[in-house]
Amino acid sequence: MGPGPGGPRLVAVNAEAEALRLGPGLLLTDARAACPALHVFPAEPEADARALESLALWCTRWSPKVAVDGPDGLVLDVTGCAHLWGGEEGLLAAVAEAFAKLGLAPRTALADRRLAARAWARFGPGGILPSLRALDPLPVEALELDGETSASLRRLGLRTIGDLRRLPRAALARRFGLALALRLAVLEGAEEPPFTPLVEPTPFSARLVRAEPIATHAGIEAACARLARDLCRMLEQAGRGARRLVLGLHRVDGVVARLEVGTARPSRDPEHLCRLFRHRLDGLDLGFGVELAILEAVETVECPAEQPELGAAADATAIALLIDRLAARLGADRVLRPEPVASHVPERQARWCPAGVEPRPGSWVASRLRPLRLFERPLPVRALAVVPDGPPLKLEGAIAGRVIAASGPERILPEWWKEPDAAARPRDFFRVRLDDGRELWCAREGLWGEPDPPVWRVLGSFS
Amino acid sequence: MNMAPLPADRAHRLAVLRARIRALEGRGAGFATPPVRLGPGLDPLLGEDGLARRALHELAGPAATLFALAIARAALDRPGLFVWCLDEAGVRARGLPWPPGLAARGLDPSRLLLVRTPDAAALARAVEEALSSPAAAVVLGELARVGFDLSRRLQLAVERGGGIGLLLRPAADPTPSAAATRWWAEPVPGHEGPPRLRLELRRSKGGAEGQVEVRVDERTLALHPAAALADPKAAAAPPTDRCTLARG
Repeated sequence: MGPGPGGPRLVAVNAEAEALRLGPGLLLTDARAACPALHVFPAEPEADARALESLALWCTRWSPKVAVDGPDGLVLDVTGCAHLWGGEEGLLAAVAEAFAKLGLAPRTALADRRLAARAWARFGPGGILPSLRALDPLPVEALELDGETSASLRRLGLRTIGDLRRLPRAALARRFGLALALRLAVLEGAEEPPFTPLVEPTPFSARLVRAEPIATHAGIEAACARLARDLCRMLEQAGRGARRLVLGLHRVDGVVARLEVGTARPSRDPEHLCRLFRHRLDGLDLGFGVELAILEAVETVECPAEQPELGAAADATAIALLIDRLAARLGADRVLRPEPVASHVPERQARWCPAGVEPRPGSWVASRLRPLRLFERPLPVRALAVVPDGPPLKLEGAIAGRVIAASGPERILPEWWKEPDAAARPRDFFRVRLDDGRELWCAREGLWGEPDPPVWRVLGSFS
Repeated sequence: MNMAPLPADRAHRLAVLRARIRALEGRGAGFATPPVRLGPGLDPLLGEDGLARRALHELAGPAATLFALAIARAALDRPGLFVWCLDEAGVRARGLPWPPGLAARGLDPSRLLLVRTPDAAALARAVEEALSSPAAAVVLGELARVGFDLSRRLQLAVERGGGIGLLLRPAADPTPSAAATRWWAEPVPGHEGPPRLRLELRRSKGGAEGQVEVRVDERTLALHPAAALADPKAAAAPPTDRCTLARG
């Protein structure tokens, strides 16, 4: 049930309700009047869309090119796939059986044009389209035209596709527009625009089907090892290395888990790839078992045959392997390398970027005025200092102590041309040594004499 | 196993037997990894050798970071990464390593890899992974709690990897561990000039213990004995010179 003009209306009904002649679009009040014992649930279109998308992923077991068609349909391009199930009949039977196991009974159709298959499934009996002639009795709505065009067609008495096909094409185009003529041409064999699949298919993919679902992590690892070996053989023959891989695990209950890993350098080492996935498999819920595993290399790079590595090349490989393993465990945004940034604000002079990405070249401004460690958020403290710009003599608050030596001030003005600094105040930086020996980097933000008193913060430490 | 007859000369015989035992223990002949020489400041405690590689060293105390960086600087004379591992709690408590500061003290930031984990368990696993990799010359892990089992696992990992493992502890922890040495580092208060540290070796596999006071050279992080008092040049050098390290 969902909102509609005139009050809540039915959005979808089950078989029993259909038997009582309650269909979508009926006002809820009328429906309740017809059947007082009606169970009504609010419609959740987003949840439905997500469920449909995950069902589409589940359908990649038959073909890699799957897309969602409207709010309640899926379209698969099975060119070249049917022979794996013993022909088109076998494929449709396998599809029906698999959906039946999930408790769904979709209307399926197979034809050599998407438009024809869609029309046959939604408006016809379904199954394999026997011939073009069979589409003739279907209503014109099956051609996916907009409401205005189909209304005017009906007004003129053109109700079925057969009626349209009998008329001269040029006249139809003049009267109703090119879209109608193109659709009729597609039905008769013209090329139609391809659809964008949900997941980009890749030529490098290996799949493993088990009649007995794999329910243990050890089993998945073994399956992964086998798939990695097959995939790496394919990559080797093509002279390419993988940069990004996706492992799709199709569970028996219809859920598909997709694990993605990336590598810092193109790799076709099955051991290494398996290890990367092993880290991701740790917390995975396998449900009742996995019946199909597909390993695909979604991003590959040309990678000529490797020679046994010596010296610096071997070190670089070892570094890349370590980065890959840590990134697979923790996420690429937690394994970082520093990059110099040209800025005169000290906290901005370095940036941490993910280790898999090449850092931009640049030079480090090395200054012993800068601390060894920097707090992500400077700690506010209270300081006793000689006015107006003397160093602090005593610190209180988060960090407390008497200052026995200080060097500074180093005045650093904010980068007023940058947005976040528009209202920032100039700062005087001091390196102070406390009485217990700790050395800290602190700053006074703001000058005496301004309406707001200055604020002292500790930004980093030298020990 | 090599059953060739042993040489007659006794010293030579001992060396051959030692090599065979190492091979039996799984550590082969090509395993000579020179220790990390820290400079004359620590000779009274460590003797001529320095800190062992393929080993863990625990560092605690308010100046532990500075001491750890001094060790790292000396250990990075071999190729490899400097892997610094800490978790979010450590970032909040002690802050992130700051590359411009490290660059000024002779550590090349391009060799630094920062591993920032969400919690302590992930940190322990990440430190183990980094220690066992031959790509890491120095691994610095800021682990708060290290039980004996974990320290044993880390010790095995660093033996595989070949680098040096430095565990930065926030507090002195008396629980037994598989670390080769255990240190306490604190700054010496009340003086001017370059920073001074009191380094106390609290536990070591060789049995040596003791403490020593060193002066840290800020340009190179070398540790000089503090007894040889500050030469006037070092005291007078103002900490305001800047130098630029060019990177390609």
